[in-house]
Amino acid sequence: MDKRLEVKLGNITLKNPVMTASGTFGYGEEFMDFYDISILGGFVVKGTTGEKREGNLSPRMAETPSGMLNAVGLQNKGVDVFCSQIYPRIKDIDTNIIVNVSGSSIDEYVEVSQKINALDNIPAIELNISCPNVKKGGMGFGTNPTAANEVVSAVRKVYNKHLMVKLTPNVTSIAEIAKAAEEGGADSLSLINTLLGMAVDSEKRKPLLSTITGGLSGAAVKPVALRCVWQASKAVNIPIVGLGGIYNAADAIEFILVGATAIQIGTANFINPFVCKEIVEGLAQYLDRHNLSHISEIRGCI
Amino acid sequence: MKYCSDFVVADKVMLENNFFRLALKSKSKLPSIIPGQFVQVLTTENNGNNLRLPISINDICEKNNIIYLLIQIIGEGTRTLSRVEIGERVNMIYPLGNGFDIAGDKVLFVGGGVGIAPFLHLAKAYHNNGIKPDVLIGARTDKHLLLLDEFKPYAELHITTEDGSMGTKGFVTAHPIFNTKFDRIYSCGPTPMMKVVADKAKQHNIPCWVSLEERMACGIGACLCCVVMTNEGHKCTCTDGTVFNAADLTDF
Repeated sequence: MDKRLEVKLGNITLKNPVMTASGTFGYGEEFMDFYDISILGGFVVKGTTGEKREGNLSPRMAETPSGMLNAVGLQNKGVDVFCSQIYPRIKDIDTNIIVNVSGSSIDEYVEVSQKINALDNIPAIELNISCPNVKKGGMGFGTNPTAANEVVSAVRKVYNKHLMVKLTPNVTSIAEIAKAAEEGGADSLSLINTLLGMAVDSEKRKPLLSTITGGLSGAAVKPVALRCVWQASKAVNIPIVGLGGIYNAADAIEFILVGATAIQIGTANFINPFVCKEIVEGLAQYLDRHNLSHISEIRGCI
Repeated sequence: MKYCSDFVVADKVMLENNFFRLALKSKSKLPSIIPGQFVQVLTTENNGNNLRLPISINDICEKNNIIYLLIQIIGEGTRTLSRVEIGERVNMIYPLGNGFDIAGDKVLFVGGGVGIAPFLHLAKAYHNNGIKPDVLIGARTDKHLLLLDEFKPYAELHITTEDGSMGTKGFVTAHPIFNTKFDRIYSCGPTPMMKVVADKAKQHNIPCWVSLEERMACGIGACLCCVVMTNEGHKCTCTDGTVFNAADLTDF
């Protein structure tokens, strides 16, 4: 293990800044045939809600220039199945396993967070107040500072481990939302979730997604993500986890330069299943090349 | 177990009507591949930043570690892939999906268009077990019929063309073979065709499996983009399928 890459995210320690983004890495198991995922700083499992959800109807994916739209809509088996069936299978993977917690109401966020709090080997949750693909809740909480503060505060009361809050870029002022989440008691912020977008088939004269709109991810969103991370990092004192269109180590470095302590890889996992491993290696090579003794030396220098 | 590695283009044959066939050779020994499984192919388009293309395995050569793909050029990705040259490398994740069971003594495969692709590998697997499957292939014209010579040694071929230029004239679903009793029917092709095939199978009390295609991102069950509605809720086409019992599908 390369100590030069070890970073602290509030009260948790990451072997390196590289994590995976929720909804793109399943429960980690899907990638174990490719490499030992315990080399990662952490991985964030699929969005988990109070009850089982079927998500939206197909088609829920459309490829767009340098990116993709998804409208999965939080399909998952519910928190109880996660705790009783999925958690026992993955709990001994030697890295930070973070559960993405989603909901339609404050009560649901609180209930799920409470149940995850009881799991010894889950050191953190990522509170998803930014999903663009559900009718109720989700992004509704993340686009209004008062609502964001309210849901984060409510979860803070029942959750005593690391509370990461995932923010949406679909707002006028990311700084304002970031501050609201910090004041609510967040230990860190992860951003950005997907950008609300849509795609149309000109021949069929129809939208490509069943839901008409969906969340845009991939290389296309990186400039927006960098701007959001830069603005948020200037606005708050808690660590930032940057994500949005990171495909290689250079992309990851860019996020660290604008203030991110750690980063998440999402869509790139679909194209190159080894991408996270390659980015861990690429970060170490960057430190060698630039004669740096620790990754934190370049954090936030822009 | 699934793998992700580079293959070398050992052969490329351009066929009529925007079809082409690739022979992709692996440096290492191929794992066991079930007929009906698919690969996720990375194209060089857009610096390799585009999503992979899910393509069904047409055939394999175990001895030479070759995977054959039969591909129809329908968009940017398949067009880029059609430009690869012999000797170049192509990265693939493989083998993916559940594939077809090799079961039953009298079986019928119904393929439409590029949907015939997995049935060559499947016909050979049955043939190895001493069974010659009936294979019904439907196409628009005789020019759209592919790989007939490859099928002939392993299958009892039945042909329909919409213009009558070869075989029985009309849609594949109107062929009299549906009056024959089979142990099972497998179908792959356009969804409307598979729905009619599943209906006919149901009328004759024959179990029917269909191989579905939905837009995929990961291909390995991580993103949940490619779901299909079943009697037990949404299932991933990539990992729970692509082969489903038609009786389990809500829309069939």
